Amino acid sequence: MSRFRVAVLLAALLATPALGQGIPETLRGAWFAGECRDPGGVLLLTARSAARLDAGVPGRLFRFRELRPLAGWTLGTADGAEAPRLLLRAADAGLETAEPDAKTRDDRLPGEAPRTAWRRCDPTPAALAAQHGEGFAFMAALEHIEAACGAGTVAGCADALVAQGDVSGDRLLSSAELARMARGAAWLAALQEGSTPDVVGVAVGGGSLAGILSARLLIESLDYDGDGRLSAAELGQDRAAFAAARGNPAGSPLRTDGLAEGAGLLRGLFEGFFGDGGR
Amino acid sequence: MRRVAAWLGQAWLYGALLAGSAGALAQQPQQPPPNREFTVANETDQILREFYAAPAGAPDRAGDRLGSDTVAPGATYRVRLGRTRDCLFDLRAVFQDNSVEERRRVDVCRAQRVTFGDPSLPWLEVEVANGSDRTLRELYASPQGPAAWGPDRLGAEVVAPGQSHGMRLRTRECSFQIRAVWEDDAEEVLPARDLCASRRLVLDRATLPQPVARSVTLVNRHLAPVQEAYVSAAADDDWGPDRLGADVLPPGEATTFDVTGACEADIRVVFPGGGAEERREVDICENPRIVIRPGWVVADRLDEEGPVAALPDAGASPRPIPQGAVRLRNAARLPIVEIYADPPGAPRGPDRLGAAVLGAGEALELLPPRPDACTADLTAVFRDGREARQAGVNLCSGQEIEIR
Repeated sequence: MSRFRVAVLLAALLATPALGQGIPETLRGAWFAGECRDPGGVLLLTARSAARLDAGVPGRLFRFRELRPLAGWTLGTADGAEAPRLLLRAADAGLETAEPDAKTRDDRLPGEAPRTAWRRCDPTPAALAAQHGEGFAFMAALEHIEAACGAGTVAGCADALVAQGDVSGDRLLSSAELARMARGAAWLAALQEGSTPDVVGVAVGGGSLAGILSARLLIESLDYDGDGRLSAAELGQDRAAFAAARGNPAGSPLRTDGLAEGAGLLRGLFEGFFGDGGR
Repeated sequence: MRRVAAWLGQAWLYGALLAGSAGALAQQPQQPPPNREFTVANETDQILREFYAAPAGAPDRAGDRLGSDTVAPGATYRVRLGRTRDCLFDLRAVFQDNSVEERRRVDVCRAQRVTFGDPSLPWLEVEVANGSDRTLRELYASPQGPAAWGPDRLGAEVVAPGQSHGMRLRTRECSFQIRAVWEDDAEEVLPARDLCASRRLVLDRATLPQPVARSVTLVNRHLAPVQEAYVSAAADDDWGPDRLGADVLPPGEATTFDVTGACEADIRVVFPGGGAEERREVDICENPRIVIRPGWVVADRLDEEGPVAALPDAGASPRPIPQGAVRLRNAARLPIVEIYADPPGAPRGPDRLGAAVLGAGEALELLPPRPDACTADLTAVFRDGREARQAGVNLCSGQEIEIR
């Protein structure tokens, strides 16, 4: 996608109505299907997004542009030609979801849509956290950036970018911090394309990175404090467990179709934020 | 003097007789010309297609005396010339292979039966079986081969795969070369064979170069199963067999089958409920993997996963709308879940989308239910229940209709 088109779509999307309080706070975070020892799937919820990854089947990314209550459920309608929907509700100390097919009219929901029960797991299943933790963090960060860039000034948008990308706390973005965001973006792009969880995980590992994210950048990408070394904390950032990534209910989804284009995506994404958010 | 008187007497007598005779004739009514009829017997092994009969030497042959009829081999036809005193006619017979036989000054008053062909020739009857998977369109049998193939022995008929045709030849010959022309225009010539010895001839395209089998994979990325799938050569008029047979293609699954023939093919999938999607003139050599997904009928690429982009790239030329169809474009933000195209004033018929939806920004090509049923009342139902209606839409206009 060209930067011009990113800008055009951002302009359109930023004008969409707000989504109220977003997904209820208590429902956000990581949910697991089946036993915590060996979950069959993971559902990651932020304020305006949901990522579902079931073993062996294409993952689904929902970037909601509308959320509203419906007969005891929260109905989220996402972007996309078929405007995919997800129904959510708290049930038996866990979470229940339903994904109606595209054909079912809204006034006939939830209908016969298959339902899935989800639970919290403590401790977090380590393998899943390693595969999807960074992506989940980026999914939440993106909502903060969208909220700031959609409503604020260029400065506010830049502040939000730094705040979300700044891991070390020095209020600067090092190459490693940028690379972390790029990995998160690659994860999101892989999910958006309907890749299976394994493929999504590989995307985070840098398999899809190219261009300016050279081998040097990959080596340095975990050097969060910029001292040329990687600490245990740096290695474990976002990987030891799922972060307290709650997201932000304000704002609306931005077009992220260009995320898979490789390392240049981050630049294009930033220019898109600045080009529209700063107006 | 008496001789003179006698002569005068005779003259008077003759004059009186003549006068009396003329008077008698003048009193009788005029006799109308008789109705002339005769029989044409077709003793050839070809269909007599046209027959002309005109008074001998007349510059004009008048019309075809058979009208819309033809005379089969071995059959007769009664030709009615109407009331005429003419007996001598010039006759002209035109057979199915356009060969012409003319007869001059035939006296139809004396010969009530005119025969074309030699009735003394024996009939040679041969069963021609189609052992191929293609329809046999034309069949020629000739002792001379390419020098004179003669008429198409099937006439207006064709022989479907697995079916047979009784070929009747009027000849004393036994050795014939055979020429077969198939529905795909492929043509084969079989060397001379003795049809008297073997009265059954199986045509199976064995002498034709065997077409290359191409593997085509259909991937179903709709939410509904594909119930029927057709892939046929773009030049074919018929969709051919359902490639799924008794199976269905569930969502998320793929199936591969072989397709023979040219690279350019038409593809049609049918969902439960009768909704169908079609894409014409797909190059299956270039695109052996086709992802059936929302909007695939207009997608730039056929092997990509995921929904089709709503906005085409700037400068990209839109795909032309097929003749006799319209393109419906969903210009709203929600999917259209039902489309109805019913005759004006008629109750709502089947949902033309079947189990599919028309996503936001996507388009589909809608064909009229019949080529002659172009006008319809169009109703689109969005997923939030809102309906968009347009009466008297011309489904054959080749236009794009935006639905909002």
